[in-house]
Amino acid sequence: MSSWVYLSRRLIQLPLVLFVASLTIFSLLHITPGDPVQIMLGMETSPDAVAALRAQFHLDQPLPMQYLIWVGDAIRGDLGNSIRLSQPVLHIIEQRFPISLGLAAAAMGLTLVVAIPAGIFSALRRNTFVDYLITGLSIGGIAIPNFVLALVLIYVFSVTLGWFPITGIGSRARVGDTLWQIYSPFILPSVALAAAEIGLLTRFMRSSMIDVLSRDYIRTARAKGLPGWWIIVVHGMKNAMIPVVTISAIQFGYLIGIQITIEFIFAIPGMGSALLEAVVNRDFPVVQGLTLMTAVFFVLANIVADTLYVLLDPRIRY
Amino acid sequence: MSEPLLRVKGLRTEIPGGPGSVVAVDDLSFDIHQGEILGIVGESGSGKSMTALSIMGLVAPAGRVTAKRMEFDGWDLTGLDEAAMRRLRGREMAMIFQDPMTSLNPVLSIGFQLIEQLRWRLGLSRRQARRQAVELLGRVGISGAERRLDDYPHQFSGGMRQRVSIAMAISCEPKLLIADEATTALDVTIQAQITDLIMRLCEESGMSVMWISHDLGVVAGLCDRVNVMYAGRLAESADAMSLYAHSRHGYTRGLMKSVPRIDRRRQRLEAIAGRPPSLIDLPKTCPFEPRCAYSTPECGAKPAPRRNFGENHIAYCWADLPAEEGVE
Repeated sequence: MSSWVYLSRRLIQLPLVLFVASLTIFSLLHITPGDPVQIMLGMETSPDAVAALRAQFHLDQPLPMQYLIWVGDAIRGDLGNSIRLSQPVLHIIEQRFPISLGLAAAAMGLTLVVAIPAGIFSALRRNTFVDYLITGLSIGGIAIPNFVLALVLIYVFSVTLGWFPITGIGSRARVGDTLWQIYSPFILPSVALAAAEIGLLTRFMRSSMIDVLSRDYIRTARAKGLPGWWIIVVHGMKNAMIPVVTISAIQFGYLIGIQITIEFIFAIPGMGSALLEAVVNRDFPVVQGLTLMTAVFFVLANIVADTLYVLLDPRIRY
Repeated sequence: MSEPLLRVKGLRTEIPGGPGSVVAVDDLSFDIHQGEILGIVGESGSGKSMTALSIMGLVAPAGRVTAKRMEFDGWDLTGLDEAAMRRLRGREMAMIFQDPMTSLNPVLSIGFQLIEQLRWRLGLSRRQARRQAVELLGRVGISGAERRLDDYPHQFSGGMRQRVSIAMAISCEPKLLIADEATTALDVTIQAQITDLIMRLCEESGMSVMWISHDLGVVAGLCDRVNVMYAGRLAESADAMSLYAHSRHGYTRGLMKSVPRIDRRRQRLEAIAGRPPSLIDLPKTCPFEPRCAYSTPECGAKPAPRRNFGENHIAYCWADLPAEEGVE
């Protein structure tokens, strides 16, 4: 089964990517100025107390040693403790990752549901008004920063129209809550998050479909007298989706990493807002842990993309 | 003679574009009778493929097809909409394309591609269609057909893929088969096999064939009648024998001289000087005139007349070509 050979080769790359990622994260964090212990304890603390805390977080060790300690612990599943919140970093991830994942999934779902039909429609109606309209909206979606869009959405749909709540993701569901109460807080943030991805994927789907529709095998399918929708769905989409699926798997990995501003605006207790807090407070174990987690997720999303690629394109297997 | 299977009168295919419309086919008229093999010969850009695509209704949306008459098996093709054309395509008239490497869908198994047509067009059940597909692959000479049904196009060689294309084309027993340079992309030995296969299949079923080629030599051996096309227009049309015995158009003559012959050693091939004209705003006069070795003063002044030379032999040419230069 050479498809498994292909995939295992991709899996072998995983530790290598994580090594490079961890080294980068660690280096960037430790060359930025600002002593976390000083910030935490204030300027008026006794040198002994500072030294004790520095020792507790291995800050008295040389940098390579600190890195090895961190990586060594991480491999055993221990990402250290938050300096500020005095709880394990892993615990923070456990609490917050599902929320960020849920938001990313909502945004991704929205992206696929909108971008694939819009891209196909655009390709089929090439150089008509509808095509130009979809193209314009796509480019708008890519160009508008997500925090600006978020504020506009809040103003229009929450403040003015009162259709959707602004906050509420992550608050504990109570018995008797309707589905609307649980899921409606996801709507505005996922739209704000998805807009750029929808724009990108629509453009991508459009060009992929246009490319496929100009191929000889589509002419063959027409010469066979197959129905038009069958040619587009079976012969066109099966080919056009190959690059699109790959891109969207990567987009999904990316969505976890770009939530910071959105989580901040909508007061979502996810990884992004935790990361923001930790950066402000120089809570380096949390920053390291969360960033590493994001990197792991991104790499996994890439592996999923490769897997889907193998499944969709029979030519890869041989 | 009885009503022809296909009757084309005044076919014109235009491809609109940048500086002006390209007239890919201009005022083309010909018939194909039941069981007849018609060869269409001409160099690249002479409108051979466009003629085929126009008949199949595959030019849209890129181009516009008009004709005074275009009748196929009792159907008036000029009046049919896309839905009606679709019902004829693949069922009553089928087409084999030039490049077997790109004309099959790479992500669908060849079994799927055969079966989908049988199911959509003949309404066969899944099981019937599969059995039929195996039988078809056997007929086109693919061994172990049952096993190969689930293979993908990239697992086949070029010749084998073209056999699959042929199996698809004949699967609904069409009345007309259009082979558009069906062997051009293949190795020479494979070319002969594929040509033989198509000829055998059409003999068995009595299909008419429109055999498009740029190779006058191959067409000579295969076809009952030959249309020579130049710049989207018919130059000469004749029975194969008559054409080779005494071609009546300067272009046909030029083509014949450019074919290497095994019985004349160290013969110098005569290339036709110059290049085919642009198909935008072509004058009404003979488009071959600037390159023609037999050009007369009338050629550049007035449109070439349609001249009859005996039964079923016509040429659009002013010049009287000497006989001795033909094939003896």
